[in-house]
Amino acid sequence: MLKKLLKYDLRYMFKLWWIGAVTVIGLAIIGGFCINNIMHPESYNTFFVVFSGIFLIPTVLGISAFSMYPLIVSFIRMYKNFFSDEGYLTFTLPVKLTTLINSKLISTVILNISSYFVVLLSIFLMIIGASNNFLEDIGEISYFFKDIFEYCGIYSLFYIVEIIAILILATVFSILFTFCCITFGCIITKKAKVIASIGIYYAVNSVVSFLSQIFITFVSPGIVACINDFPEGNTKLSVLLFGLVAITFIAIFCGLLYLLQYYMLERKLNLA
Amino acid sequence: MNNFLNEFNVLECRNLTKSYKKGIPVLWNLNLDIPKGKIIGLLGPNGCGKSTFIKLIAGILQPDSGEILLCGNPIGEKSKALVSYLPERPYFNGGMKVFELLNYFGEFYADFDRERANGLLADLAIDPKAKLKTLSKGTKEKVQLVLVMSRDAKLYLLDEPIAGVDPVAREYILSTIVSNYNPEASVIITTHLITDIEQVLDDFMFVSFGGRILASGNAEEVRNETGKSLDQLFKEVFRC
Repeated sequence: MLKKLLKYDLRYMFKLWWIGAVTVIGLAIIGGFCINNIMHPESYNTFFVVFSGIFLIPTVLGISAFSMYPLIVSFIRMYKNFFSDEGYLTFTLPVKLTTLINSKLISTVILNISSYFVVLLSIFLMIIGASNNFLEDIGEISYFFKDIFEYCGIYSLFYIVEIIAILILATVFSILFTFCCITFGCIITKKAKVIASIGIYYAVNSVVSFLSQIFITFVSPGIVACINDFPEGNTKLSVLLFGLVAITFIAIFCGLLYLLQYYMLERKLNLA
Repeated sequence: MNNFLNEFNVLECRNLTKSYKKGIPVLWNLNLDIPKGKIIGLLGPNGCGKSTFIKLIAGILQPDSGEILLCGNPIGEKSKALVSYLPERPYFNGGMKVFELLNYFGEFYADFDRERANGLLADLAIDPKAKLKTLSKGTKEKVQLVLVMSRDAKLYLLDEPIAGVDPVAREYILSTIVSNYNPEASVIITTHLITDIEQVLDDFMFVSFGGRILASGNAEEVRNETGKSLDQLFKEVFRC
């Protein structure tokens, strides 16, 4: 049943995504040449340089808007499927509640990761377009990574795995956080469900950001000091261990949000 | 009048209680058995808990306490595969075409009869290629009813199935309900339009506030015993 649900969720989410992705890539290719024009104004006439500057505005706006696409579309899909009248169909399908949540979660993760790739590809294409000597620039970037690999040795592979795990878990956390806010907003009010959901999202987000700032200000220096206190030669290991601790914490928070989401849908759902 | 619940049951409810606000139960300690092979009218005033009861069986709401068993299964994945539910409002994605909805039902419900659905759509002159949002409210309700009645479910839950359609369509819908449901299954219908629907009912229940069952029995027997229609009896029982 999960496959069937995923098919419909992905079809909905990617219906307009392709148009956005192609547009953003197109804008990035042209935008790269525009940056090149601005960086080398002596090679082009003034009108062309001014036009390039103006064209960069929709390029940047397009990439920013596309970055927001997964959040907006997953919000709409979740809201319509679960809390509008469509909920009468969704919650009477012969599937487990966990399957319904998993379908929304997996499809949104896929949408997010696909969008990350398109945004990264766009930035990469802009760099290619902007650069007069692309191979040389790429060479410098590769030296940077080479230095890191030489210094960290085998640990660099573990770091890459950790970074990927943290990125995926952070994406899952962010999606579950959004889902919980929508669900809570739709449970506490019968009217203006969307406004309540958005309000809760921004209110909780502000609190979390504030707490994060406190954490960064007061706890991070302690963590850095702790890493530095490790015996000589063990710094790489300590970074690895702190990465694992971070992964564990994010995973625990994801689990808690999942349980909260399940509880709210199982016990508190009341379609109007 | 309360002796018809003694056959093999499709649905059993024990001590069912549900409240939306603390201390104000919509259903209070409801005990109810629904036998198979019956069309049962759940009749009562607004706010008496008819829709809440149906939503509990459909698995959209969770009871505060009590138990519901559908063919011996608690409400969940298995019971939902046995229930065909028609809510009182349009509940499909308006962007979908009628034939896409048929595909959707075919994928998720193993008991969905595609041929029956196509036949009913043809009878009602509904274009399968039409987008749902382009259809009138009445036609949308007909599409929903077609999908719901094209399943070979064990229990059909029809919440106000004829409220939004014209009198001619009402007749067709009622005949559809009678002719399309599996004789091994049961149908629970809630409605205010008792006069229209009483001809198809085998049994009835008059439900009062808190889910109290004031009267129940075989519709035909009650009509013969009292010489009154269910509509007349309803007005007598619930007169303010």
